[in-house]
Amino acid sequence: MTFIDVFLTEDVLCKVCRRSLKKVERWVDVNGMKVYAYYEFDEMMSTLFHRYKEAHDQALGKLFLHPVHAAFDKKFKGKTIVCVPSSKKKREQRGFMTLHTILGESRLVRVDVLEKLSDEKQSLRSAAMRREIQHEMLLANPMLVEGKDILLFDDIVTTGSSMLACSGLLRENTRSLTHVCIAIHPSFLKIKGKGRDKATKTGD
Amino acid sequence: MECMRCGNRSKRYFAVYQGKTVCRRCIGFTGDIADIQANSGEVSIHLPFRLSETQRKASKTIYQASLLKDVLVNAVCGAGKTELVYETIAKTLEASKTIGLAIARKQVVLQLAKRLTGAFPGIRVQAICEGHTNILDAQLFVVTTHQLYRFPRMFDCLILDEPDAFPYVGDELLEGFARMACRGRMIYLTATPDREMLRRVKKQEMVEVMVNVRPHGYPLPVPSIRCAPYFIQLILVKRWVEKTKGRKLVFVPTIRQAVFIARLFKWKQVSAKSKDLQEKIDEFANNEDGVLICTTVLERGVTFENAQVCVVMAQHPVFNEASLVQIAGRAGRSPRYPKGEVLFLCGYKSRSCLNCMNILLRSNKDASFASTP
Repeated sequence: MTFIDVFLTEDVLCKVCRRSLKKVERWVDVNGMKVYAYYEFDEMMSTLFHRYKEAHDQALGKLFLHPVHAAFDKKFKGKTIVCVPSSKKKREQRGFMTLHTILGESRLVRVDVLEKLSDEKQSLRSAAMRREIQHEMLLANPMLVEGKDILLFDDIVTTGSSMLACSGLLRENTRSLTHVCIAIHPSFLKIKGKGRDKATKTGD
Repeated sequence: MECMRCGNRSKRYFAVYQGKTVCRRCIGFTGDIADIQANSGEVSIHLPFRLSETQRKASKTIYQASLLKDVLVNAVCGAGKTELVYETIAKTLEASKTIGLAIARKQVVLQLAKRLTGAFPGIRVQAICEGHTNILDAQLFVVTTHQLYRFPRMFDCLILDEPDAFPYVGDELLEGFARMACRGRMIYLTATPDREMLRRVKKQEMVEVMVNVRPHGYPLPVPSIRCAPYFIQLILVKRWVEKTKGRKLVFVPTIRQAVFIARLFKWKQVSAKSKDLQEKIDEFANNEDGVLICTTVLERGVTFENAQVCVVMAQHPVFNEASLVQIAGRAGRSPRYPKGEVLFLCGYKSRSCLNCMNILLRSNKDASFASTP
């Protein structure tokens, strides 16, 4: 967190709500992937994301990376951001790109190279069906990520299937791959003994 | 500028997203709009009992008044408020108009939908509340106040039960939903009208229909108040439970207190946090000599035969005047056991306790002048 973060950016959440968010801010092991998570995906986070993504309340986009916007840029300096994609239907329905709004004023370069072919919502699928997503993701333009340090960015990681599928597509073409999410399911935080230590050693 | 769903006029809630103005106060309510099907033909009412003379008079008055103005049905607890509006429902439906019932609490919605299905056999009644939002077409809707946004300007008459109950009371958003859902007249059903409603009655913006007597004709149980320090209250409540016959409801102000007393005396307790709330309520209803400790979660919307009531720490701010009147109203509701016992244990006689007693005494005194529109 930097001076600019604390004093010069305005929070869209009140202090009471901000305090009720459970911070993680560390590397977490998700099915063998190291994912940097900012918050735990609890009831409060779920309500906020529902309001943001399903009720299309765009103003909330700013809150997820507040007040660590500048620190985010500093931490992942030099990387190119690739966002985990939503389906075309969902994008049209919302009228805005949820992850891009969250990233807001981040100065890191962003490229949209991934596409989601299915319109089905991940959260409505069973755990087994979620794994099928690897067949529904497409790397549309591999040239744009070739030889680069890529930061794969998603908002929520509940089973890790979407991120794993995107990671699989990108890994072969990129120089390095870092995974970052806003909120992570608490089940990944419970096994912190192994996952955390291992991740921290090799993490950024 | 006014939001068509919640009636918000405050500029700070409006935002412009992609050139469209949206109201951020009600943006989280994203469900589909309901479809009210018009009724054609006569509507018959099936009741397993006969309405009392007072109820019949009040029913007629409510319907006639609702054609002209908003109506406040100020009826004591256990007076059969829902039955009082059956005639209005039937006649409004017969006139091919739309009518709906809104209640703050989900459990009451489900119970009431069942009762109305039995009372109006030819009418398709649908409950809409959390977890019951798949079917959105019917002739008569019973909904929680949170779901009223699905009915923009759809009701010719909207009956609002317990407008003084949590979470409706004081919530501008829910009040806005109710206001925007109704294009005609509102009927408020309550035993404890607030100042605003009484002010509207005084200004003749609204007609008040009072029913001060229960169908069985017995007076309302008036609480006896005993002042004692907290630990003495615990001894007194223990003795009261041992001495009293019938179902005993012990109200406490907080969940912590409920858990503490339940552990101390090995009684069962329920609160809004109880996962098996309905099961415990059913179990208590089936046990003729049971004891149940509860928070204000059971202060309204529940009826137990032969229930006696005790309130521990009745001076606590949680128990306001309306809340205590409702709690006292749990006793003596059944025609088989029309007399109930109500005991308030408190550290000192709070204004709410005294006001509650005065309201009940006044209602009993006025009972002979029941139904004075």
